[in-house]
Amino acid sequence: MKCLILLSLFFLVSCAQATEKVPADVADFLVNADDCQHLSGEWDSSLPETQKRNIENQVDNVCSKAKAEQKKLKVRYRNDKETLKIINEYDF
Amino acid sequence: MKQLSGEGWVARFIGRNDTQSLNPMFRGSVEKFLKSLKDAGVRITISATFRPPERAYLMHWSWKLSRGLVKPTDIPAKSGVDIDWVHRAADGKLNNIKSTNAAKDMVRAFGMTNLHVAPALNSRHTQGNAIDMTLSWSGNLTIKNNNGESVVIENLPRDGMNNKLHEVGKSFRVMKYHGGAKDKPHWSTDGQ
Repeated sequence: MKCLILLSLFFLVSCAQATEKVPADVADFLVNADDCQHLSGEWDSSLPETQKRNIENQVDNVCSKAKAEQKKLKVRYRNDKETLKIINEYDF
Repeated sequence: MKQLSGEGWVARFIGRNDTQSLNPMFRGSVEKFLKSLKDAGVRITISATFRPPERAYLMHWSWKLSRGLVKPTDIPAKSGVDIDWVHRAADGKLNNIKSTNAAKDMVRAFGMTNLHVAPALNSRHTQGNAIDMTLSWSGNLTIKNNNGESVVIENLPRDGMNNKLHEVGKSFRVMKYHGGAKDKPHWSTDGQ
């Protein structure tokens, strides 16, 4: 039982450290990437026109940034497998 | 029996804007929150609740195929959607142009020509865990939270972006989207 608790604690601490380890430029990318992913799940033809246009504008702004950042970061972190894996999790 | 891709698929799985289509747990929370909003005199327009995953699948892959980002033969099948993305010539050979044009027709019929990102396959809407609604009121708002306590909202804006209203929503476990003004009407189980 104690082992299980210790293992769980170790896992939680490792996860927290992994999140903290992300470089600042990757953290910035993740904000835009998550927003882009969210917006891509929002658009639907059944929405009112104003809402559709708003999502399209936000997509153009946020997703363009995320795509451009992803391209640069893939090159910058090409030798850092862990970071590259995080960057490559997004397919816009 | 599979049916070829094309415009006819667009009307088969329709997005909903009623609370009945939501995931039962979230539905209960949303309906309580909506009642509180109505009792307080808030004007409510619901624009979207549940999006069938089948619709998201058709939107996603037609968008990708129309832009040449995937081959029709590589599109994974989805249970409950007997669509054939692969159009063939009379001799049975794959006809890429016909396949792509059929996808373009679908994109046009979905109205996605100005959307510059592939629609997501999964979202809080496909899970039935999100609602898009436009809210507004005049003057000060007195509204009850889930504990039955009256909350007076005097600050601006008088719409769904009001931070005090977000706290009221939270008491019902209906969370405002954490990305701020990027998606004003969106509320969900976890703010995503």
